[in-house]
Amino acid sequence: MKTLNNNNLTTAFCIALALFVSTPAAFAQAPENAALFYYQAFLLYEKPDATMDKMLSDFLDDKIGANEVIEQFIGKNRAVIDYLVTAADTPYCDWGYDYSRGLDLMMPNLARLRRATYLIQTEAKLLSKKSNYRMALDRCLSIHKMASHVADTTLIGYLTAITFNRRANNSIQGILEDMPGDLQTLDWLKSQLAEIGNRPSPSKIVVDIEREILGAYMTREKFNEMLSEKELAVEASLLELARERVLVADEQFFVKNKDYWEKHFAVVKAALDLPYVQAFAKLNKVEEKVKKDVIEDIAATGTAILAAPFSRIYSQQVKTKTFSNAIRTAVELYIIEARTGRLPDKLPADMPKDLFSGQDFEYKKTEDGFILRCRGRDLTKGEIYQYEFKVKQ
Amino acid sequence: MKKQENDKWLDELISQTINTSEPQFDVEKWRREYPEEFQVLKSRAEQKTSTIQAGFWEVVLHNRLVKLAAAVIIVAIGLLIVHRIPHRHEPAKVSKMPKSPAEMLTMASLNAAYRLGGMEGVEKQYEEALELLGPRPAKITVKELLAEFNGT
Repeated sequence: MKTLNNNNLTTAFCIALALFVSTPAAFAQAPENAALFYYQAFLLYEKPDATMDKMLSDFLDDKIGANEVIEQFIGKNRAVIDYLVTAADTPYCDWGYDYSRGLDLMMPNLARLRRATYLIQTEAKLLSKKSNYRMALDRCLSIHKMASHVADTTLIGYLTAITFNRRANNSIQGILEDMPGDLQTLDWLKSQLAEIGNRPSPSKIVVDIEREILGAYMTREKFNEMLSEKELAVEASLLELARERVLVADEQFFVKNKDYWEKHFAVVKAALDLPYVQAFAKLNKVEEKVKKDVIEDIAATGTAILAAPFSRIYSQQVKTKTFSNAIRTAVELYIIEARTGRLPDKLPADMPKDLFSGQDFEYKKTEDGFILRCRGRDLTKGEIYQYEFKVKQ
Repeated sequence: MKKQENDKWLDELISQTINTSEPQFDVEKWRREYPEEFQVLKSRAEQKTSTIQAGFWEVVLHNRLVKLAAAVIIVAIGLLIVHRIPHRHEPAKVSKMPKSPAEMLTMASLNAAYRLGGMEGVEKQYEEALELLGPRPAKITVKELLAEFNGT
Protein backbone atom coordinates (compact mmCIF):
# COMPACT_ATOMS: atom_id res chain seq x y z
CA MET A 1 0.00 0.00 0.00
CA LYS A 2 2.78 2.33 0.89
CA THR A 3 4.68 1.36 -2.25
CA LEU A 4 1.60 2.03 -4.38
CA ASN A 5 1.26 5.46 -2.88
CA ASN A 6 4.88 6.17 -3.69
CA ASN A 7 4.31 5.12 -7.34
CA ASN A 8 1.34 7.44 -7.63
CA LEU A 9 3.38 10.27 -6.24
CA THR A 10 6.18 9.59 -8.71
CA THR A 11 3.71 9.50 -11.63
CA ALA A 12 2.10 12.76 -10.56
CA PHE A 13 5.52 14.35 -10.22
CA CYS A 14 6.55 13.20 -13.70
CA ILE A 15 3.35 14.56 -15.27
CA ALA A 16 3.80 17.88 -13.48
CA LEU A 17 7.42 18.03 -14.62
CA ALA A 18 6.45 17.22 -18.22
CA LEU A 19 3.80 19.92 -18.19
CA PHE A 20 6.21 22.38 -16.61
CA VAL A 21 8.82 21.71 -19.27
CA SER A 22 6.51 21.47 -22.32
CA THR A 23 4.05 24.28 -21.61
CA PRO A 24 6.50 27.19 -21.93
CA ALA A 25 7.89 25.54 -25.07
CA ALA A 26 4.40 25.42 -26.63
CA PHE A 27 3.90 29.11 -25.92
CA ALA A 28 7.33 30.08 -27.20
CA GLN A 29 7.15 28.29 -30.56
CA ALA A 30 4.96 29.28 -33.48
CA PRO A 31 3.52 26.45 -35.60
CA GLU A 32 5.94 25.22 -38.23
CA ASN A 33 3.15 24.41 -40.66
CA ALA A 34 1.94 27.43 -42.63
CA ALA A 35 -1.44 25.77 -43.21
CA LEU A 36 -2.32 26.19 -39.54
CA PHE A 37 -1.94 29.97 -39.85
CA TYR A 38 -3.90 29.98 -43.08
CA TYR A 39 -6.81 28.03 -41.59
CA GLN A 40 -6.98 30.46 -38.66
CA ALA A 41 -6.98 33.39 -41.06
CA PHE A 42 -9.79 31.78 -43.08
CA LEU A 43 -11.88 31.38 -39.93
CA LEU A 44 -11.40 35.03 -39.03
CA TYR A 45 -11.93 36.60 -42.43
CA GLU A 46 -15.17 38.49 -42.79
CA LYS A 47 -16.56 38.17 -46.27
CA PRO A 48 -17.37 41.63 -47.63
CA ASP A 49 -20.99 42.30 -48.59
CA ALA A 50 -21.90 42.88 -52.25
CA THR A 51 -21.39 46.66 -52.10
CA MET A 52 -18.03 46.33 -50.38
CA ASP A 53 -17.03 43.59 -52.77
CA LYS A 54 -17.78 45.84 -55.74
CA MET A 55 -15.86 48.71 -54.20
CA LEU A 56 -12.79 46.54 -53.59
CA SER A 57 -12.97 45.16 -57.11
CA ASP A 58 -13.26 48.68 -58.61
CA PHE A 59 -10.33 49.86 -56.49
CA LEU A 60 -8.13 47.00 -57.71
CA ASP A 61 -9.20 47.71 -61.32
CA ASP A 62 -8.27 51.42 -60.94
CA LYS A 63 -11.89 52.46 -61.47
CA ILE A 64 -11.98 54.29 -58.14
CA GLY A 65 -9.33 55.66 -55.81
CA ALA A 66 -8.64 54.77 -52.19
CA ASN A 67 -11.26 55.85 -49.68
CA GLU A 68 -12.07 55.58 -45.98
CA VAL A 69 -14.42 52.65 -46.39
CA ILE A 70 -11.71 50.56 -48.01
CA GLU A 71 -9.25 51.63 -45.32
CA GLN A 72 -11.74 50.60 -42.63
CA PHE A 73 -12.29 47.24 -44.29
CA ILE A 74 -8.56 46.57 -44.34
CA GLY A 75 -8.31 47.75 -40.71
CA LYS A 76 -11.08 45.38 -39.69
CA ASN A 77 -9.20 42.51 -41.27
CA ARG A 78 -5.81 43.41 -39.79
CA ALA A 79 -5.60 40.16 -37.79
CA VAL A 80 -6.39 38.16 -40.93
CA ILE A 81 -3.65 39.91 -42.91
CA ASP A 82 -1.14 39.32 -40.10
CA TYR A 83 -1.93 35.62 -40.06
CA LEU A 84 -1.74 35.39 -43.84
CA VAL A 85 1.62 37.15 -44.02
CA THR A 86 3.00 34.95 -41.22
CA ALA A 87 1.74 31.89 -43.08
CA ALA A 88 3.32 33.05 -46.35
CA ASP A 89 6.66 33.50 -44.59
CA THR A 90 6.53 29.99 -43.13
CA PRO A 91 8.41 27.73 -45.55
CA TYR A 92 6.72 24.42 -44.78
CA CYS A 93 3.05 23.99 -45.65
CA ASP A 94 0.95 20.85 -45.34
CA TRP A 95 -2.76 21.39 -45.95
CA GLY A 96 -3.64 17.95 -44.61
CA TYR A 97 -5.15 16.75 -47.89
CA ASP A 98 -6.48 13.21 -47.81
CA TYR A 99 -5.23 12.06 -51.20
CA SER A 100 -6.69 8.59 -50.65
CA ARG A 101 -10.11 10.08 -51.43
CA GLY A 102 -9.13 10.33 -55.09
CA LEU A 103 -11.56 12.45 -57.09
CA ASP A 104 -13.47 13.18 -53.87
CA LEU A 105 -10.43 14.95 -52.43
CA MET A 106 -11.62 18.17 -50.80
CA MET A 107 -9.74 21.39 -51.52
CA PRO A 108 -11.76 24.06 -49.70
CA ASN A 109 -8.59 25.99 -48.92
CA LEU A 110 -8.15 27.06 -52.54
CA ALA A 111 -11.32 29.16 -52.65
CA ARG A 112 -10.51 30.75 -49.29
CA LEU A 113 -6.89 31.39 -50.20
CA ARG A 114 -7.94 33.03 -53.44
CA ARG A 115 -10.16 35.43 -51.49
CA ALA A 116 -7.29 36.04 -49.08
CA THR A 117 -4.96 37.04 -51.92
CA TYR A 118 -7.45 39.74 -52.95
CA LEU A 119 -7.32 41.10 -49.41
CA ILE A 120 -3.51 41.19 -49.51
CA GLN A 121 -3.55 42.73 -52.98
CA THR A 122 -5.92 45.46 -51.77
CA GLU A 123 -3.67 46.27 -48.85
CA ALA A 124 -0.63 46.36 -51.17
CA LYS A 125 -2.37 48.92 -53.34
CA LEU A 126 -3.39 51.04 -50.36
CA LEU A 127 0.19 50.97 -49.06
CA SER A 128 1.47 52.01 -52.46
CA LYS A 129 -0.99 54.94 -52.56
CA LYS A 130 0.46 55.99 -49.21
CA SER A 131 3.97 55.79 -50.72
CA ASN A 132 4.89 52.83 -48.52
CA TYR A 133 6.29 51.02 -51.56
CA ARG A 134 8.58 48.60 -49.81
CA MET A 135 5.79 47.13 -47.71
CA ALA A 136 3.44 47.20 -50.68
CA LEU A 137 5.93 45.15 -52.70
CA ASP A 138 6.45 42.86 -49.73
CA ARG A 139 2.70 42.11 -49.74
CA CYS A 140 2.94 41.18 -53.43
CA LEU A 141 5.79 38.84 -52.62
CA SER A 142 3.55 37.31 -49.94
CA ILE A 143 1.05 36.46 -52.69
CA HIS A 144 3.85 34.74 -54.65
CA LYS A 145 4.74 32.77 -51.51
CA MET A 146 1.10 31.86 -50.93
CA ALA A 147 1.04 30.58 -54.49
CA SER A 148 4.02 28.33 -53.79
CA HIS A 149 2.11 26.81 -50.85
CA VAL A 150 -0.60 25.39 -53.13
CA ALA A 151 1.39 24.92 -56.33
CA ASP A 152 2.72 21.47 -55.42
CA THR A 153 -0.54 20.00 -54.10
CA THR A 154 -2.63 19.06 -57.13
CA LEU A 155 -3.01 20.14 -60.72
CA ILE A 156 -5.86 22.47 -59.76
CA GLY A 157 -3.73 23.81 -56.90
CA TYR A 158 -0.97 24.45 -59.43
CA LEU A 159 -3.30 26.28 -61.80
CA THR A 160 -4.70 28.33 -58.93
CA ALA A 161 -1.14 29.22 -57.93
CA ILE A 162 -0.50 30.42 -61.48
CA THR A 163 -3.40 32.87 -61.19
CA PHE A 164 -1.99 34.13 -57.85
CA ASN A 165 1.41 34.67 -59.49
CA ARG A 166 -0.19 36.58 -62.33
CA ARG A 167 -2.04 38.89 -59.94
CA ALA A 168 1.05 39.43 -57.81
CA ASN A 169 2.94 40.39 -60.98
CA ASN A 170 0.20 42.80 -62.00
CA SER A 171 0.41 44.46 -58.59
CA ILE A 172 4.21 44.69 -58.69
CA GLN A 173 4.01 46.22 -62.17
CA GLY A 174 1.57 48.87 -60.89
CA ILE A 175 3.68 49.69 -57.83
CA LEU A 176 6.87 49.99 -59.90
CA GLU A 177 5.10 52.52 -62.11
CA ASP A 178 4.08 54.61 -59.09
CA MET A 179 7.39 54.35 -57.25
CA PRO A 180 10.08 56.96 -57.77
CA GLY A 181 13.57 55.49 -58.34
CA ASP A 182 14.51 53.97 -54.98
CA LEU A 183 17.68 51.95 -55.45
CA GLN A 184 17.59 50.24 -52.08
CA THR A 185 14.03 48.99 -52.53
CA LEU A 186 14.71 47.97 -56.14
CA ASP A 187 17.82 45.99 -55.19
CA TRP A 188 15.92 44.29 -52.40
CA LEU A 189 13.06 43.48 -54.80
CA LYS A 190 15.50 42.12 -57.38
CA SER A 191 16.98 39.66 -54.89
CA GLN A 192 13.54 38.63 -53.61
CA LEU A 193 12.21 37.99 -57.11
CA ALA A 194 15.35 36.05 -58.03
CA GLU A 195 14.88 33.87 -54.98
CA ILE A 196 11.25 33.14 -55.92
CA GLY A 197 12.02 32.75 -59.64
CA ASN A 198 14.87 30.33 -59.07
CA ARG A 199 12.78 27.88 -57.09
CA PRO A 200 12.29 24.63 -59.02
CA SER A 201 8.96 24.45 -60.76
CA PRO A 202 6.59 21.95 -59.14
CA SER A 203 4.99 21.16 -62.51
CA LYS A 204 6.51 17.66 -62.63
CA ILE A 205 5.51 17.03 -59.03
CA VAL A 206 1.86 17.82 -59.77
CA VAL A 207 1.94 15.74 -62.94
CA ASP A 208 3.08 12.83 -60.77
CA ILE A 209 0.40 13.54 -58.16
CA GLU A 210 -2.27 13.61 -60.88
CA ARG A 211 -0.89 10.38 -62.38
CA GLU A 212 -0.96 8.70 -58.98
CA ILE A 213 -4.40 9.85 -57.80
CA LEU A 214 -6.27 9.26 -61.05
CA GLY A 215 -4.25 6.19 -62.02
CA ALA A 216 -5.92 4.47 -59.06
CA TYR A 217 -9.18 4.55 -61.07
CA MET A 218 -7.88 1.96 -63.55
CA THR A 219 -9.51 -0.93 -61.72
CA ARG A 220 -12.96 -2.41 -62.28
CA GLU A 221 -14.41 -1.11 -59.02
CA LYS A 222 -12.98 2.40 -59.30
CA PHE A 223 -13.69 2.64 -63.03
CA ASN A 224 -17.36 1.84 -62.40
CA GLU A 225 -17.45 4.29 -59.50
CA MET A 226 -15.95 6.99 -61.70
CA LEU A 227 -18.42 6.42 -64.54
CA SER A 228 -21.48 6.29 -62.34
CA GLU A 229 -20.80 8.80 -59.57
CA LYS A 230 -18.19 11.33 -60.54
CA GLU A 231 -18.55 14.65 -62.24
CA LEU A 232 -16.64 14.29 -65.50
CA ALA A 233 -16.65 17.06 -68.05
CA VAL A 234 -16.21 14.82 -71.07
CA GLU A 235 -18.32 14.22 -74.16
CA ALA A 236 -21.44 12.15 -73.59
CA SER A 237 -20.52 9.82 -76.46
CA LEU A 238 -17.18 9.03 -74.79
CA LEU A 239 -18.87 8.20 -71.51
CA GLU A 240 -21.36 5.98 -73.33
CA LEU A 241 -18.51 4.20 -75.09
CA ALA A 242 -16.66 3.70 -71.80
CA ARG A 243 -19.77 2.29 -70.12
CA GLU A 244 -20.32 -0.16 -72.95
CA ARG A 245 -16.68 -1.26 -72.80
CA VAL A 246 -16.65 -1.70 -69.04
CA LEU A 247 -19.78 -3.84 -69.19
CA VAL A 248 -17.96 -6.50 -71.20
CA ALA A 249 -14.46 -5.84 -69.85
CA ASP A 250 -12.18 -8.58 -68.56
CA GLU A 251 -9.27 -7.94 -66.20
CA GLN A 252 -6.94 -7.31 -69.14
CA PHE A 253 -9.00 -4.22 -70.02
CA PHE A 254 -7.96 -2.54 -66.77
CA VAL A 255 -4.34 -3.69 -66.99
CA LYS A 256 -4.10 -2.25 -70.50
CA ASN A 257 -5.76 1.00 -69.43
CA LYS A 258 -3.31 1.44 -66.55
CA ASP A 259 -0.41 0.74 -68.88
CA TYR A 260 -1.65 3.28 -71.44
CA TRP A 261 -2.14 5.82 -68.63
CA GLU A 262 1.44 5.41 -67.38
CA LYS A 263 2.89 5.72 -70.88
CA HIS A 264 0.82 8.84 -71.52
CA PHE A 265 2.19 10.51 -68.39
CA ALA A 266 5.75 9.49 -69.22
CA VAL A 267 5.43 11.40 -72.51
CA VAL A 268 3.87 14.41 -70.72
CA LYS A 269 6.67 14.54 -68.15
CA ALA A 270 9.37 14.24 -70.79
CA ALA A 271 7.78 17.09 -72.77
CA LEU A 272 8.05 19.44 -69.79
CA ASP A 273 11.85 19.42 -70.17
CA LEU A 274 11.66 20.74 -73.73
CA PRO A 275 11.58 24.36 -74.92
CA TYR A 276 8.05 25.73 -75.30
CA VAL A 277 7.47 25.18 -79.02
CA GLN A 278 8.67 21.57 -78.96
CA ALA A 279 6.93 20.86 -75.67
CA PHE A 280 3.64 22.25 -76.93
CA ALA A 281 3.91 20.23 -80.16
CA LYS A 282 4.65 17.04 -78.23
CA LEU A 283 1.84 17.57 -75.72
CA ASN A 284 -0.59 18.44 -78.48
CA LYS A 285 0.44 15.34 -80.41
CA VAL A 286 -0.01 12.98 -77.48
CA GLU A 287 -3.42 14.51 -76.70
CA GLU A 288 -4.55 14.07 -80.30
CA LYS A 289 -3.27 10.49 -80.21
CA VAL A 290 -5.48 9.72 -77.20
CA LYS A 291 -8.51 11.16 -79.03
CA LYS A 292 -7.81 8.96 -82.05
CA ASP A 293 -6.82 5.86 -80.10
CA VAL A 294 -9.94 5.79 -77.96
CA ILE A 295 -12.13 5.06 -80.98
CA GLU A 296 -10.42 1.76 -81.75
CA ASP A 297 -8.18 0.98 -78.79
CA ILE A 298 -9.94 0.03 -75.55
CA ALA A 299 -6.71 0.70 -73.61
CA ALA A 300 -7.07 4.46 -74.20
CA THR A 301 -10.53 4.67 -72.58
CA GLY A 302 -9.48 5.73 -69.07
CA THR A 303 -6.85 8.18 -70.30
CA ALA A 304 -9.32 9.81 -72.69
CA ILE A 305 -11.72 10.40 -69.79
CA LEU A 306 -9.29 11.46 -67.06
CA ALA A 307 -6.16 13.01 -68.56
CA ALA A 308 -5.96 16.78 -68.22
CA PRO A 309 -5.33 19.04 -71.24
CA PHE A 310 -1.63 19.48 -70.51
CA SER A 311 -0.83 21.52 -73.65
CA ARG A 312 -3.22 24.23 -72.44
CA ILE A 313 -1.93 24.01 -68.86
CA TYR A 314 1.67 24.20 -70.05
CA SER A 315 0.92 27.34 -72.08
CA GLN A 316 -0.61 28.97 -69.00
CA GLN A 317 2.47 28.09 -66.98
CA VAL A 318 4.83 29.53 -69.61
CA LYS A 319 2.71 32.66 -69.92
CA THR A 320 2.88 33.36 -66.17
CA LYS A 321 6.58 32.54 -65.90
CA THR A 322 7.29 34.79 -68.87
CA PHE A 323 5.38 37.60 -67.13
CA SER A 324 7.53 37.00 -64.02
CA ASN A 325 10.66 37.18 -66.19
CA ALA A 326 9.40 40.42 -67.73
CA ILE A 327 9.00 41.86 -64.22
CA ARG A 328 12.53 40.80 -63.29
CA THR A 329 13.90 42.33 -66.49
CA ALA A 330 11.93 45.49 -65.81
CA VAL A 331 13.39 45.75 -62.29
CA GLU A 332 16.89 45.66 -63.83
CA LEU A 333 15.88 48.49 -66.14
CA TYR A 334 14.37 50.51 -63.27
CA ILE A 335 17.63 50.04 -61.35
CA ILE A 336 19.65 51.35 -64.29
CA GLU A 337 17.26 54.27 -64.60
CA ALA A 338 17.56 55.00 -60.86
CA ARG A 339 21.37 54.86 -61.07
CA THR A 340 21.95 56.75 -64.29
CA GLY A 341 18.84 58.85 -64.63
CA ARG A 342 17.95 57.28 -67.98
CA LEU A 343 16.86 53.98 -69.43
CA PRO A 344 19.46 52.00 -71.40
CA ASP A 345 19.25 51.88 -75.18
CA LYS A 346 19.38 48.11 -75.22
CA LEU A 347 18.76 45.31 -72.77
CA PRO A 348 21.65 44.35 -70.48
CA ALA A 349 23.12 40.86 -70.99
CA ASP A 350 21.86 37.76 -69.21
CA MET A 351 18.34 38.96 -68.62
CA PRO A 352 15.52 36.52 -67.83
CA LYS A 353 14.04 35.22 -71.07
CA ASP A 354 10.78 35.24 -72.93
CA LEU A 355 9.97 31.56 -72.44
CA PHE A 356 7.74 31.35 -75.53
CA SER A 357 10.81 31.87 -77.74
CA GLY A 358 13.68 31.15 -75.33
CA GLN A 359 15.17 34.52 -76.32
CA ASP A 360 15.53 37.94 -74.72
CA PHE A 361 12.47 40.15 -74.73
CA GLU A 362 12.23 42.66 -77.51
CA TYR A 363 12.92 45.96 -75.74
CA LYS A 364 11.50 49.26 -76.86
CA LYS A 365 11.63 52.63 -75.13
CA THR A 366 8.46 54.71 -75.14
CA GLU A 367 7.71 58.33 -74.22
CA ASP A 368 6.92 57.49 -70.61
CA GLY A 369 8.68 54.19 -70.07
CA PHE A 370 9.38 50.99 -72.01
CA ILE A 371 7.80 47.89 -73.51
CA LEU A 372 9.04 44.31 -73.23
CA ARG A 373 7.63 42.22 -76.02
CA CYS A 374 7.70 38.44 -76.43
CA ARG A 375 9.29 37.08 -79.58
CA GLY A 376 7.36 33.82 -79.45
CA ARG A 377 3.65 33.19 -79.71
CA ASP A 378 1.33 31.54 -77.20
CA LEU A 379 0.38 28.58 -79.37
CA THR A 380 -2.89 27.93 -77.55
CA LYS A 381 -4.28 31.37 -78.29
CA GLY A 382 -2.04 32.43 -81.14
CA GLU A 383 -1.16 35.65 -79.29
CA ILE A 384 2.11 37.50 -78.76
CA TYR A 385 2.25 39.18 -75.37
CA GLN A 386 3.86 42.46 -74.46
CA TYR A 387 4.31 44.21 -71.12
CA GLU A 388 4.24 47.95 -70.82
CA PHE A 389 6.01 49.72 -67.95
CA LYS A 390 5.90 53.40 -67.11
CA VAL A 391 8.71 55.19 -65.35
CA LYS A 392 7.84 57.81 -62.76
CA GLN A 393 9.46 61.10 -63.77
CA MET B 1 -57.09 -62.90 -60.43
CA LYS B 2 -56.09 -59.34 -60.63
CA LYS B 3 -57.90 -56.64 -58.74
CA GLN B 4 -58.77 -54.57 -61.90
CA GLU B 5 -60.37 -57.54 -63.69
CA ASN B 6 -62.22 -58.33 -60.53
CA ASP B 7 -63.86 -54.81 -60.55
CA LYS B 8 -64.87 -54.82 -64.24
CA TRP B 9 -68.12 -56.69 -63.83
CA LEU B 10 -69.21 -54.11 -61.25
CA ASP B 11 -68.59 -51.13 -63.62
CA GLU B 12 -70.64 -52.76 -66.38
CA LEU B 13 -73.47 -53.41 -64.02
CA ILE B 14 -73.54 -49.75 -62.86
CA SER B 15 -73.43 -48.43 -66.46
CA GLN B 16 -76.41 -50.49 -67.39
CA THR B 17 -78.38 -49.30 -64.36
CA ILE B 18 -77.48 -45.57 -64.45
CA ASN B 19 -77.03 -43.47 -67.64
CA THR B 20 -73.71 -41.70 -66.99
CA SER B 21 -73.42 -39.90 -70.39
CA GLU B 22 -73.92 -36.03 -70.53
CA PRO B 23 -77.48 -34.94 -71.53
CA GLN B 24 -77.63 -33.80 -75.19
CA PHE B 25 -79.91 -30.86 -76.33
CA ASP B 26 -81.17 -31.45 -79.87
CA VAL B 27 -81.87 -27.93 -81.31
CA GLU B 28 -83.32 -29.13 -84.62
CA LYS B 29 -85.69 -31.44 -82.92
CA TRP B 30 -86.76 -28.65 -80.53
CA ARG B 31 -87.25 -26.16 -83.46
CA ARG B 32 -89.44 -28.67 -85.32
CA GLU B 33 -91.57 -29.35 -82.27
CA TYR B 34 -91.82 -25.66 -81.09
CA PRO B 35 -91.48 -23.35 -84.19
CA GLU B 36 -93.22 -20.28 -82.67
CA GLU B 37 -91.22 -20.30 -79.48
CA PHE B 38 -88.05 -20.69 -81.49
CA GLN B 39 -88.79 -17.52 -83.55
CA VAL B 40 -89.59 -15.46 -80.45
CA LEU B 41 -86.39 -16.53 -78.74
CA LYS B 42 -84.34 -15.82 -81.86
CA SER B 43 -85.77 -12.28 -82.35
CA ARG B 44 -85.15 -11.44 -78.67
CA ALA B 45 -81.52 -12.55 -78.85
CA GLU B 46 -80.81 -10.38 -81.95
CA GLN B 47 -82.52 -7.34 -80.41
CA LYS B 48 -80.48 -7.59 -77.18
CA THR B 49 -77.04 -7.77 -78.96
CA SER B 50 -77.67 -4.75 -81.17
CA THR B 51 -78.96 -2.69 -78.23
CA ILE B 52 -75.83 -3.37 -76.20
CA GLN B 53 -73.52 -2.47 -79.15
CA ALA B 54 -75.35 0.72 -80.05
CA GLY B 55 -75.48 1.85 -76.40
CA PHE B 56 -71.70 1.48 -75.89
CA TRP B 57 -70.67 3.52 -78.97
CA GLU B 58 -73.39 6.06 -78.31
CA VAL B 59 -71.89 6.73 -74.85
CA VAL B 60 -68.30 6.88 -76.15
CA LEU B 61 -69.09 9.17 -79.08
CA HIS B 62 -71.57 11.49 -77.43
CA ASN B 63 -70.20 11.85 -73.87
CA ARG B 64 -67.41 14.52 -73.67
CA LEU B 65 -66.10 13.30 -70.37
CA VAL B 66 -65.68 9.77 -71.64
CA LYS B 67 -64.07 11.09 -74.84
CA LEU B 68 -61.59 13.11 -72.77
CA ALA B 69 -60.81 10.16 -70.57
CA ALA B 70 -60.29 7.99 -73.62
CA ALA B 71 -57.93 10.59 -75.13
CA VAL B 72 -55.93 10.79 -71.91
CA ILE B 73 -55.60 7.01 -71.80
CA ILE B 74 -54.43 6.92 -75.44
CA VAL B 75 -51.85 9.70 -74.85
CA ALA B 76 -50.63 8.02 -71.65
CA ILE B 77 -50.17 4.70 -73.44
CA GLY B 78 -48.32 6.51 -76.24
CA LEU B 79 -45.97 8.25 -73.79
CA LEU B 80 -45.38 5.04 -71.95
CA ILE B 81 -44.39 3.29 -75.15
CA VAL B 82 -42.12 6.18 -76.23
CA HIS B 83 -40.29 6.22 -72.89
CA ARG B 84 -39.95 2.47 -72.71
CA ILE B 85 -38.15 2.31 -76.08
CA PRO B 86 -34.39 2.80 -75.46
CA HIS B 87 -32.90 5.76 -77.34
CA ARG B 88 -29.37 4.96 -78.44
CA HIS B 89 -28.60 8.47 -79.57
CA GLU B 90 -29.91 10.19 -76.48
CA PRO B 91 -26.98 12.09 -74.94
CA ALA B 92 -25.79 10.71 -71.65
CA LYS B 93 -25.51 13.04 -68.69
CA VAL B 94 -22.21 14.88 -68.95
CA SER B 95 -22.05 16.01 -65.38
CA LYS B 96 -24.04 16.19 -62.21
CA MET B 97 -24.92 19.63 -60.92
CA PRO B 98 -22.92 20.36 -57.80
CA LYS B 99 -25.30 20.63 -54.88
CA SER B 100 -23.22 21.79 -51.98
CA PRO B 101 -20.03 23.83 -51.48
CA ALA B 102 -18.35 20.61 -50.37
CA GLU B 103 -19.21 18.93 -53.66
CA MET B 104 -18.14 22.03 -55.58
CA LEU B 105 -14.71 21.96 -53.98
CA THR B 106 -13.77 18.38 -54.72
CA MET B 107 -10.99 17.48 -57.10
CA ALA B 108 -13.52 15.96 -59.54
CA SER B 109 -15.71 19.05 -59.59
CA LEU B 110 -12.82 21.52 -59.92
CA ASN B 111 -11.19 19.44 -62.65
CA ALA B 112 -14.50 19.42 -64.50
CA ALA B 113 -14.84 23.20 -64.06
CA TYR B 114 -11.37 23.64 -65.57
CA ARG B 115 -12.16 21.43 -68.54
CA LEU B 116 -15.36 23.34 -69.23
CA GLY B 117 -14.26 26.92 -68.58
CA GLY B 118 -10.53 27.07 -67.92
CA MET B 119 -9.28 28.92 -64.85
CA GLU B 120 -12.17 31.38 -65.17
CA GLY B 121 -14.53 28.48 -64.68
CA VAL B 122 -12.60 27.30 -61.62
CA GLU B 123 -12.51 30.78 -60.11
CA LYS B 124 -16.26 31.18 -60.68
CA GLN B 125 -16.81 27.91 -58.89
CA TYR B 126 -14.67 29.09 -55.96
CA GLU B 127 -16.83 32.20 -55.68
CA GLU B 128 -20.08 30.25 -55.87
CA ALA B 129 -18.88 27.87 -53.17
CA LEU B 130 -17.88 30.74 -50.91
CA GLU B 131 -21.25 32.41 -51.44
CA LEU B 132 -22.91 29.25 -50.15
CA LEU B 133 -20.46 28.80 -47.31
CA GLY B 134 -21.34 32.24 -45.96
CA PRO B 135 -19.39 34.81 -43.99
CA ARG B 136 -17.05 34.35 -41.10
CA PRO B 137 -16.67 36.71 -38.13
CA ALA B 138 -14.02 39.35 -38.58
CA LYS B 139 -12.29 38.69 -35.30
CA ILE B 140 -12.96 36.65 -32.20
CA THR B 141 -11.08 37.89 -29.20
CA VAL B 142 -10.30 35.83 -26.13
CA LYS B 143 -12.50 38.28 -24.20
CA GLU B 144 -15.45 37.56 -26.49
CA LEU B 145 -14.91 33.83 -26.22
CA LEU B 146 -14.81 34.08 -22.41
CA ALA B 147 -17.96 36.19 -22.43
CA GLU B 148 -19.69 33.53 -24.53
CA PHE B 149 -18.38 30.81 -22.22
CA ASN B 150 -19.64 32.63 -19.14
CA GLY B 151 -22.99 33.27 -20.79
CA THR B 152 -22.73 37.06 -20.53
